[in-house]
Amino acid sequence: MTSISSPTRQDNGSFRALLGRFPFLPALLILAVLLVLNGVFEPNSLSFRSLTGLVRTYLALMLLAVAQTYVVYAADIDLSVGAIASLVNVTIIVLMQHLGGGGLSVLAALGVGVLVGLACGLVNGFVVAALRLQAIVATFATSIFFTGLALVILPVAGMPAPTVFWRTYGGTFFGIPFVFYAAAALAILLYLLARTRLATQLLAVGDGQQAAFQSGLPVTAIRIGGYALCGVFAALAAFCITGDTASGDPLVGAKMTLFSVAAVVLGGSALSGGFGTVAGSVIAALIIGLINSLVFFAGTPSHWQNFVQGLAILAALMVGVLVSRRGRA
Amino acid sequence: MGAGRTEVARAIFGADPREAGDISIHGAPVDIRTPADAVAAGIGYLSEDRKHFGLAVGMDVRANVAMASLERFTGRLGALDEAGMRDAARGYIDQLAIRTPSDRQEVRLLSGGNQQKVVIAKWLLRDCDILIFDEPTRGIDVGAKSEIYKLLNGLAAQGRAIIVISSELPEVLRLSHRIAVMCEGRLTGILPGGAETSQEDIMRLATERESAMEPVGGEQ
Repeated sequence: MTSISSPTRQDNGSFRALLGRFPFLPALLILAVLLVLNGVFEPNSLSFRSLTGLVRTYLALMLLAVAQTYVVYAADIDLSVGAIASLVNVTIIVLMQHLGGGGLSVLAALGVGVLVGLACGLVNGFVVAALRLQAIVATFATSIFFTGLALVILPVAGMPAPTVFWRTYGGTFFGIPFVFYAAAALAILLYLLARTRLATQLLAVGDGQQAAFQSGLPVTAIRIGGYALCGVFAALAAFCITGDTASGDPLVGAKMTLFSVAAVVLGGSALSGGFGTVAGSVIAALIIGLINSLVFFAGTPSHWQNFVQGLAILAALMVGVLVSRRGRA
Repeated sequence: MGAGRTEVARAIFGADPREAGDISIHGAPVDIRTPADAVAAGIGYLSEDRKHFGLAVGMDVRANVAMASLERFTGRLGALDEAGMRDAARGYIDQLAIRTPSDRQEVRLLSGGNQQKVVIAKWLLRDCDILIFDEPTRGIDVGAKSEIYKLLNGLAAQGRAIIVISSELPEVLRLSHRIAVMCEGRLTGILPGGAETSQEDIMRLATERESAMEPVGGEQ
């Protein structure tokens, strides 16, 4: 009996170990299936050109999902990532316009944009970790506040981005689209960040706040650090939104907030904190993008698209959860 | 439970606010307001409830051993020295005989006794000279118990101050050099350890005044 049962147990054990090390494997599997499905419905959708378009459109969601992941590490949540992205979007659009739209003005605006994102993150961290307000409600409140600021800066959508900005974002350099350079830079940045003390500390706080506190960790500072990191990545997401849409819109990020949360979960991270990977969130953001393109390529009537899209995301979540449960139970 | 032993320990460690009293280490007063202060002063606290207060159970042995010493392993750009953390963890796995398949094993998969050793390793790596053990053998099987006793004696022999909180009188008598007895939140007496003291002596102090039955803090 042992000779029969031990190999399967062994398999299950190593599968579990594999999932423990790479919790984003289910997401990777779903991504592969979706790529195949896209190819079946519209072979053209797997062309280099189409995939470039996919990355160009969904790089922003990838960055927002990454932003969300860092706060979720610590069992917090940030319902204001979309609003931060909106605020940064209109800030840099207005700044670039005022500074003349040249290369230097673009760089200056981007610098300010990162600082705005950082400041928003610090505000969130302060109200959640220092004032100890419930993260889900407090960041909902700050999201309204940030959106309000965005509306003050640019009351109506539409101010265009300087040509140099969106030409660069949508451009191709040495035969490779700019967004792929950006994606590569993102991968390196995420690799380095995963090895930092802050990443480990965030996970420790998410695993058990009391245990972290009683190990002498500065829990409040760590949580604020997570929100600050989140704010910076939301700003980077705003740069991509701006590059993709080439205009300012004070409400552009709002609808992306909950997609970022969905991506975190789909990517195998635990909303209860202490467990997860940013790689999973990035893959999951691509999954959401592929679902949207699949719904389109499958010829879904336009008024049914949201319905089908919602169902597909639910299905993807279910597959991910089922696979993970088998591995971790 | 009732006597106030855990409350005293948590107050010393800065985990709960202190209402009165001063803390001195080697005669020098120290200001401890948070566990971070206590850890900086060389105090480590091993809670009775390891899973909630001592360990990041979903993380691996390596991260848990290094948890109180992360500054030491932080290099350029805030990057952690994983190789250094691995070596430190493996060193303690050998030294304390922690039974784990590797330093990458999740701590929640270890037995209670081995989890306890991971917490001890965490404080030893941090160079804590004062270790407060709150019911160190509760929920640990008999074999692991004697191993923990051996470990505590070894740590004391290295010159570390070990404070053990325990309700098991044989354990208290066996381990302690000095026994501080508490009852209903008050210190009711300090007894010498070893053969000079009997369980009855401790019980008398532990039940002094009124009816509380929860005895004993021991100090070695």
